[in-house]
Amino acid sequence: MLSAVWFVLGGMAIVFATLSLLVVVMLGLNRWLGPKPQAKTRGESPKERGQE
Amino acid sequence: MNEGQLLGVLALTWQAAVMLAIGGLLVYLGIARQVEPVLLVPIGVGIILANMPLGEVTHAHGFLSVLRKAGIDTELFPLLIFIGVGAMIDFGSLLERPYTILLGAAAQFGIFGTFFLAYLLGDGALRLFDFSFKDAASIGIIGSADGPTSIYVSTALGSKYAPAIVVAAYSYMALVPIIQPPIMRALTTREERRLVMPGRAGKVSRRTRILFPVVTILVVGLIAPKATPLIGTLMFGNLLRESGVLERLSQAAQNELANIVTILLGLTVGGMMVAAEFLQPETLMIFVMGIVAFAVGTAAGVIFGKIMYLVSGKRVNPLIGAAGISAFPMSARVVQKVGLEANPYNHLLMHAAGANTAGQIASVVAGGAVLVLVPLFA
Repeated sequence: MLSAVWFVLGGMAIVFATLSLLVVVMLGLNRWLGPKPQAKTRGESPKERGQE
Repeated sequence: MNEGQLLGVLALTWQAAVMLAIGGLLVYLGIARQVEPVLLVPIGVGIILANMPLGEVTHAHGFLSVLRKAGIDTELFPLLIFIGVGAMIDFGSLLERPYTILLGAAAQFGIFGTFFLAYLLGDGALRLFDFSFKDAASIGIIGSADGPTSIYVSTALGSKYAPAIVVAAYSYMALVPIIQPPIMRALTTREERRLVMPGRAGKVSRRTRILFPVVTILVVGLIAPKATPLIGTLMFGNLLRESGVLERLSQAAQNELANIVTILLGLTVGGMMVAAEFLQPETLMIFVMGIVAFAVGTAAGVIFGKIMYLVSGKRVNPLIGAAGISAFPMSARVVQKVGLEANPYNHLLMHAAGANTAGQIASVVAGGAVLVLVPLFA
């Protein structure tokens, strides 16, 4: 039965290790390839409006 | 040649008659009750054909034997099905909420917990049933709540109970709305179930959606190489969907390919259920273990959801953990229903869909882990 215990622990460890790595990958993809916020057009910022 | 070899009715045994009745029951459930008709009707007809006395469809050159050799023994059918499944799945909910993938991981304890129980009842300790280490691992895979993975792993392990395991895996898919809610309610408080999660999450770019299947193949394949065929076909199908330039192929994978292989797979699985091999006490126990597998997976997902609820400062509703057991999209719908019961303004569907698609990937990884570990420990 000891081998069965190791089998269970080993199996769950592989599943969590693989999917934890996938979380990191997904966070990285979202961070680096996520949709960029649209650039503000000229004259939109309060500073620029104040200068006009 | 005597009459018994000419007239099927004279060669009919009571065991074959029972199997014909089981086949008829599955056809009835599929058509009259609409319980997973896409699968149960072909499986039911396959059982009837395989158990017709003197029909010889499962003999060496019978058409069901040919299909079995071509599609099951080679593990081809589940992989072709996975191309279709991948093309049908939208991983957007998961990519918007990456943390939900851990709920999918936790729910895979349904596989390993059930394995442990099956091995305990079999060769591991009690010896009440003829379950070897390999058979117990194959029975555990019912907990993946994923038909193609169940077929692939139980066949690859060479379990003699593969037909019963496959039928149990597919049958219980339809029972998810009955098995899950009592467990979800028992393990959560009303306050937890009422928790409303933010409806909107960060948007995902098209480049992310395209890269995700490719990167997933690399990550899963490099850590659990035995899962490569399953994750490779699943993610290939998803790439067809997300590429934006392969609409025809994506539609073909979702419709023609998936439908044709489902017909062939259903008939073949039914054809594997011949009376002599199927009518044993072990088969009955496999069906009991199937319920255990779904229940343990659900409980593990909800308990992990409770941990996330506490760690996140009460921002994650633990119910979404129940959707970690693959069974796409049934378990996500169950989560939505139970959440609405507790709070009519609580829409958990998109969060649950993230955990549900995570369960699909997690079950494949778990299947690969089983294939890697069994030769080491058996």
